[in-house]
Amino acid sequence: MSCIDVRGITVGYGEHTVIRDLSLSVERGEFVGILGPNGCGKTTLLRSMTRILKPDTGTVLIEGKELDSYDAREFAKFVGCVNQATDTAFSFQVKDIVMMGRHPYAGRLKPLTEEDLKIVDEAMRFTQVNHLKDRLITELSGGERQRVLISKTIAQQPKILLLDEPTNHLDVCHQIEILQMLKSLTPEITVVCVLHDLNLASTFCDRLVLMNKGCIKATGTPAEVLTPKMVYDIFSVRMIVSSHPLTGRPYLVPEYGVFSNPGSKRIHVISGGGSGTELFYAFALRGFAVSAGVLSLNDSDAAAAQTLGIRGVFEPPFAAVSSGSASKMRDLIDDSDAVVLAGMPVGPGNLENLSVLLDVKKPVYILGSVTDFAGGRAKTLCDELVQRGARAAGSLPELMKMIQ
Amino acid sequence: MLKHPAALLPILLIILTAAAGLSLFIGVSGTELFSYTPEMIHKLLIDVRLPRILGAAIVGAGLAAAGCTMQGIFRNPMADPYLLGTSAGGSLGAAFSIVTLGGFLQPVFAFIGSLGSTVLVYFASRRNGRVAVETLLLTGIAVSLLLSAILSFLIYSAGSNIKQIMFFTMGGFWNVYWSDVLLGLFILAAALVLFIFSRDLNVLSLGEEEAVHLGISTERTKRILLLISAFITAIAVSIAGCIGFVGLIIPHIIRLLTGPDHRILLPASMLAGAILLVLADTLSRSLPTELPVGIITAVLGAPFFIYLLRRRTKV
Repeated sequence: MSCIDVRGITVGYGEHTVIRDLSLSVERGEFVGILGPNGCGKTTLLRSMTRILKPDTGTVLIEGKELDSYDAREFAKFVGCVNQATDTAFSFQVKDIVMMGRHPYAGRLKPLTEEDLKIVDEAMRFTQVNHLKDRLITELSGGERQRVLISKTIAQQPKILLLDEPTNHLDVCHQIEILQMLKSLTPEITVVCVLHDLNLASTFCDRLVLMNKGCIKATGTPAEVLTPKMVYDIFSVRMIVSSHPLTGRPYLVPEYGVFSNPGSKRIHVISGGGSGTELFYAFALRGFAVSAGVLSLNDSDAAAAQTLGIRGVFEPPFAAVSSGSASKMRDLIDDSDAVVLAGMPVGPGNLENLSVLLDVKKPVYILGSVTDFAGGRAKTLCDELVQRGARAAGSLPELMKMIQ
Repeated sequence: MLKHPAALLPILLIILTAAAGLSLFIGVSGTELFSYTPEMIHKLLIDVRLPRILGAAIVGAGLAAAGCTMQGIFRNPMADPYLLGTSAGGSLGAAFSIVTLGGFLQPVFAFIGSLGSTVLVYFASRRNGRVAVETLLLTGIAVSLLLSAILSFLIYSAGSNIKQIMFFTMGGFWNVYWSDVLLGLFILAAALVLFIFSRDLNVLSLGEEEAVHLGISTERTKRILLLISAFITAIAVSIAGCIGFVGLIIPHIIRLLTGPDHRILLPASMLAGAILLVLADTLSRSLPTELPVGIITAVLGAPFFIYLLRRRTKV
């Protein structure tokens, strides 16, 4: 039996239908992330799992029982919900707010027990709001208030925790801490969480639900659903999906429009040690067709060039620039309108990159300076290039001005 | 905010007792008491002044309790007991009795008018079994305006009874007797129910969705709390007319001292409301011509309220 079973619900506000015939089941102990663009119905889906919104058609079952069949108090002991942080009208103390988490357990007149107070205390420690307990909620920052609301819901000791963008308003440190904390609650507690940050969702969730326009477009493990195509289909953003070096989860980086403008003006970049990556991006954004090389394959510039799909000449790791590569580079330079030499370490292995430039007819620009590991020969070559008309730029914006 | 808000309760109780005691021996015949016979003193103190003081205390406590509850439900420190057309309805009921029946059963008509207008506002605001507080607030204003217009018409056509109606709309305790005090016991009983709900009121004042998540049946709780507040206000209006500002300003001031926890805020507001009306009524009957108490509370309350608003924006 599923913990949460959403069966073909259609939900809306008045005339406006937000969710159409949506079904979803969540297993006990799962950490499920709901992703999707603004206004796609994530919050509405979450709200219809609580008693706030009643679906127009379809049903929602919690542990096999319909929402309506629960007593309000019993339901609150079972399902906790953290809304997006809202303003509180009155200035309650933080500890009073967290204590309200015990409301479903307390009688009208019965004071809270020692046990209740202990649970409240633990909840405040767990969410790191203990030091704020005597402060007024109205005096806290958005992030602190969010943590207090989460703390209150933890004190409620629910079996299912529903959260609407809990990392909103939080700094990067608390974003990670809150999600680690939620993760540590599973599998004793089932967590369903609306998130905006794809990487946080990928890192912490067991399963992701991708929504668009009131429907579920995909559901599965992060690796299954966070593909460049799926992300583009849903968010209309092109992402580079790689694997996070430590977690092995999909890691997404936006392309920032690099591929959108295949240019007519060509430029060749000679770089190394990572000095070219920023240039590839800057030129590509301004509509140049960029080529690169010769680059060693273990250079991060080579990885960037390959990811960006730009033309380049590559050598295996630690190999010297061969004469074959040198002539390929000459061809690329012949195709180009200009050459940029980016500051890089130069040793005997890649000295050829500089020598080639001596008999190049195209304008040559130098950005930054080379670090000489070739016994002075690199410096000599650079001076030679300057004598032959290469122009040195002090910064990237200056270089851009020179070239345009 | 005070460090130990609960300590305010015994302090207020002492002040109330002192104020009531003082009030018992202040009045037009204050210094002449010694020339009276014991029977006359007994009659003056026990049959005239004591019920009047108790009535003022109970009405003050009731209005403050109702105001406190309204502010909690509406999550708005500007809410007051008359928000849902209670005062306009009560005045209309009283005026109807004065104009057509010569004041016969005036308290009953006032009570029916007050409670009736609140119930009207509540049902007019209801959609699909739910009452949104914003709708309730606006409907309350609309109904109040409508009832006030009818009241204006009645006053216009009242002729010689104008002063009587105006006195009612300002409120006062000049004809409060032991029977009114007994009626006032309903206010205290109803206020006790509000107190039992004070923890729910705390949660409700976080916002309705939060309250639902914490296991409160918000519609039912709102209905109970609104009905009880309206009941208290209606009795208060039928005893003493429409005394303004007590229900608005007292919970406001007390919240500054105790914080928003209704378990303390509610009883403390009741005591403070009682103190204010006992003193205001003592003042009103000590003046050369008796003034309606509502004028005194308004003259004291309005400037103080503006001062509070200017001093801090968020309460």
